[in-house]
Amino acid sequence: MGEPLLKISNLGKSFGSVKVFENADLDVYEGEVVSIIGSSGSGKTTLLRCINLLEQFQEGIIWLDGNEVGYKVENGKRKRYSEHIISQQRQMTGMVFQQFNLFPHMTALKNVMLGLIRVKKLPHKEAEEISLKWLERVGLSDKVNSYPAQLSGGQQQRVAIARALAMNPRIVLFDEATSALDPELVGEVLNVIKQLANDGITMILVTHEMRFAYDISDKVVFMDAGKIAAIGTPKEIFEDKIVPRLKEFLYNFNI
Amino acid sequence: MFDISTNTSFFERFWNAKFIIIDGLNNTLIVSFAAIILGTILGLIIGLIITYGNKYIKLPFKALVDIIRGLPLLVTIFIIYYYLDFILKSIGITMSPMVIGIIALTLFCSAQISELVRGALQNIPKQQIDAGRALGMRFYQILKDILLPQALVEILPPWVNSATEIVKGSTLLSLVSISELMLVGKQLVARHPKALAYYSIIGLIYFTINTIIEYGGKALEKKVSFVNK
Amino acid sequence: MNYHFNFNVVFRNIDVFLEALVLALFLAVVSLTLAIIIGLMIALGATSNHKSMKKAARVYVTIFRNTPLLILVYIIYFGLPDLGLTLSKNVAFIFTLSLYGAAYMTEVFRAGLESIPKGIIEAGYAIGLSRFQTMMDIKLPIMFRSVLPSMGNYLISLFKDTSLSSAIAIPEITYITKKLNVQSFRTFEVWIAAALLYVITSYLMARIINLLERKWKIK
Repeated sequence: MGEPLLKISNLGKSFGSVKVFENADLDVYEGEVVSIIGSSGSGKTTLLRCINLLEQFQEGIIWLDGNEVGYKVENGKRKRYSEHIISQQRQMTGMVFQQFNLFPHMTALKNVMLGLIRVKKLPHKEAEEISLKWLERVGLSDKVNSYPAQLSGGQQQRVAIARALAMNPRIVLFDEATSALDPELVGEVLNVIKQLANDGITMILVTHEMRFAYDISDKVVFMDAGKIAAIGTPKEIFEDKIVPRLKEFLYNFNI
Repeated sequence: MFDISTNTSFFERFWNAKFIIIDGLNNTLIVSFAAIILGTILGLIIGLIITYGNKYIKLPFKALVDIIRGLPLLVTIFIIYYYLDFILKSIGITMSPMVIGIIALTLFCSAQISELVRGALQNIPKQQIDAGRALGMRFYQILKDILLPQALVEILPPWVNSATEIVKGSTLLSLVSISELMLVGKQLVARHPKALAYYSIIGLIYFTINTIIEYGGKALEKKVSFVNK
Repeated sequence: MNYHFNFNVVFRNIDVFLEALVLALFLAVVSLTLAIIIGLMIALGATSNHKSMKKAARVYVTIFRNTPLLILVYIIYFGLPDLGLTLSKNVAFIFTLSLYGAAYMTEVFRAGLESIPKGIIEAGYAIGLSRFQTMMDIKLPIMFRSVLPSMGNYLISLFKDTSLSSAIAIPEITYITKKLNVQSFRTFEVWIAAALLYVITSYLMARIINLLERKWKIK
């Protein structure tokens, strides 16, 4: 398997005097699908958002593709990278948000193209081709010129997935991607994510969809009260319930 | 007082004129606060009429409010000033210019306030009135206990803004020769042409008055929001 | 009371009234444009991360919102020459009204920027946009679309404020009405004409803004 693509080591974040999470260790290999489950407040979303530096972290190191993410240690002092470098590092990750967060003043196509033109500095034609391909891949070829307000939640989220993937990131981060969707729209989004997993995209999903996590994950991480309580295969987590807290937690999901 | 020697310093001149300035400031405050108080009362009444009145009663008031709001304050002042002047002369009554100024500012203020009141009252769901009626309350009780307290929170900030608009608008009375602070300033500059200095100081006085009103308003808002919770 | 209405004065001077109307609209439009530009710059300062810029912006807004416009006009037109800067009437008035309007627009822009959902801005950062790119491609376009109605309505407000320029003898509607009044003694008639001009123009402007708002809302 070689070296992990993403290595999180002793990560910790506090908000003022409140510890959000601490001592987080996690390795993610290329092509792996990792799910993070846990109750609200367990720190799982914050941990995810540290990977692309939408949250700052005070302890630990994150390595992505061999590079330290966000901070460097110089002369024993920890320093945050410049905004310029952080922008570049963010190109290596893609994020899909719970609230979709599509740019409301742009069409679906423009939403996907923006990063390619502005960040990757691709010519317009090339950016358009790539974007159209990705929109087709998520099943929205007929909606490329629609505005977010004209799309259903499920369609908006699929555009958001295309937007993240068009940037060709090394790893895609899903932050409760289906939690804000009406039940009947959840399936279309999960299907897209499943396909991407089958195609070998490396991804981390923070999710409440236990059945889905069981089906597609290579590894499941269980977070509880700011700590990683267990890491295991889907069988170990959902069936064997290798730590006692899992029994209580999964009980809420009838598992 | 009519010293034309250029050797007297600005501050000496200014200090010598202090009584005229205080006089002007006095008039500004009187006119402004009279207009604000009368305008608020009138605006409240008109706002209620426009919100709850029947079709025929509210029409003239709505028309009046729309016209006043479509006119610049200065034009309203000129119209009231010239028209009243003419009408009163032909009847044989004289009215002090300051009273005419107060009338003009009051009309302006009441038009603004009536719009605030209308907006705030219309934001209260109709079900509240139904609930009051179901309890057997009469309309003025519903008004007093249910509608106005809720509307108050929404009306207060824009009302403070209107108050400062009236104070600022009082400067326009100088253009119809009403002797308030602005006119005093012009007179001082006419005698001693230090325009920048005089007008800046007078501007500072107006700024201070309005800032006091602004802070007073914020304190009032805090009190009202506590009462409601 | 015996008064025989005679609107001849108005009809004979229709051209004068219309020229004055055009001048007033011109003053309003130019002032609004400058107010938007200046106001945007100050708003960017007000929403930046520099404490001193935030404070400076707040001071600017407070000064220009609490001081009467007429005094500001006098300070700039009559007062600045004391410092050696003499401006023509029109330039002085437009300059004053622009600075005054900028204070209002700053607050509008600031509220518009702060009302953008944080998630959308985060999505911009997540695909690697810099702070500058996020401002230009996402924040400002969204903000402008949301403040368009406010800007339109403020134009009407500025149009009414142009009446103050009569105090420094700029020949807009209020000034020429006063002149005609003195010349013809037809007080009632000329002021009714002026009032009609203001009210009808304001009303038409409001209707046009409403129409444009609805046309563009389809997006």
